[in-house]
Amino acid sequence: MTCKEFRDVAHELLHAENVAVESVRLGLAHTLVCEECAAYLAAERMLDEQLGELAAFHAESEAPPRVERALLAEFRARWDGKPTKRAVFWAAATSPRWAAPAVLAAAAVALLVVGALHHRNASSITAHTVPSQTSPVRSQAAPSPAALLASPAADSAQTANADAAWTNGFVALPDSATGDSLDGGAILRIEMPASALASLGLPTTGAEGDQMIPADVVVGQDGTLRAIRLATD
Amino acid sequence: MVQKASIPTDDALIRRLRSGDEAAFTTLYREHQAEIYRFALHMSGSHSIAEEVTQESFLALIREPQRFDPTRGPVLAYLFGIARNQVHRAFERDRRFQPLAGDQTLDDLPSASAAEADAERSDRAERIERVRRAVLSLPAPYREVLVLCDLQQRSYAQAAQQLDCPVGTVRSRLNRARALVMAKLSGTAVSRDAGERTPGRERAAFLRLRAGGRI
Repeated sequence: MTCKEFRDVAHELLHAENVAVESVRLGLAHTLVCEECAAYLAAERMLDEQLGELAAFHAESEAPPRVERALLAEFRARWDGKPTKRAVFWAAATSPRWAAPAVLAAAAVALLVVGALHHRNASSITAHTVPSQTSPVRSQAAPSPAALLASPAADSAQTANADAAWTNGFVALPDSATGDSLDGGAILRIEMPASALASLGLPTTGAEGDQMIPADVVVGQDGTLRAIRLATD
Repeated sequence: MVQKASIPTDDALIRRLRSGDEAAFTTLYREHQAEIYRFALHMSGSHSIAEEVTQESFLALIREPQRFDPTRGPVLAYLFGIARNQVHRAFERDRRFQPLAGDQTLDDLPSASAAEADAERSDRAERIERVRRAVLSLPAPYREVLVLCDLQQRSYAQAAQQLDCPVGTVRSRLNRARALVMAKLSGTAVSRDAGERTPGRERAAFLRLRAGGRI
């Protein structure tokens, strides 16, 4: 090993994890025959100690509490005291945990769309599809499980927000469209953290924030989520 | 039935933060603030700048959490990137903290001497003060690798990730930074253009250390 090669690895010799064993062996052997490099290594060692003292001096240094207070104030101001329902819902819905349910939901919606095209004139509605609130089919059809999404008020207030009309525990999701767009929709069973459900206005009393709770969501024909409720069975 | 407590990952915390979860932000802040603060403190020698840099770094996370891309590295590396920019911005704003040829005035930094008033500790305090001044005299590119690798115990790979440069660059800058600090501590004047190699000066520095019986 030459003196230049030694200088290149002198620092690493003091931190064996950064250098190959062979380099350590050669480097230390070099110090036995080169007084200057031995001194250089000693200087490196002393510098390590001095830097270590400086690091130790500030080892407990951290931002004063007022920084955290200021940041939390900014955070609360930004979120206006609480997260928006939409943000919480989509954060949960787009997490990897929901990748599989999302794919299933998309597949279900696609199947329903295809089915709706083939059976447009059929009067029966499958148990998991949602009738159009304006469709003539609905008025002729016998009561079906899909009616759980409809309410007496819905017909008389088609322009009103659907969440005010739906019963059976369904809550309209933020920015969801009115019932008109639910034609051919589907109800899917998913699981969501209690905290996310609570932020959407669903009662999750007694549940831990991260506890997964089953819920039913209404998926519109356009693939968007329209409403949600706690699973009833 | 005992429930197992799980520690949320940074990615999970960021997702929750994006949806307005204050607890997630608090967890992230408490986990990483000290590292960011100490980095800025070592870089600037100023508690007020360190405080400002820490606050600005996390403010960026609050205001634009979507800019964090987990595929590019951990949250800490992302925060370090912001902190680094903030430190450089502070340097630009306040030239007092630019590397100088001579000693700097650390007017707003409580001196080690003051913090360690005991007479029996004065030698150590003085030593720490000298090392701190030597570190602060380094040009920023050298200082940041020395701070990360030698003061904050980052591996070369971690420092490279945080500085967004190759490992070889970290290694060479660290060698150079240490040589410059060594020269400074031995009393050899450090060139303002420290990027230029001055092997004779470095050699003279450690020979002086050896001649003085310090090594």
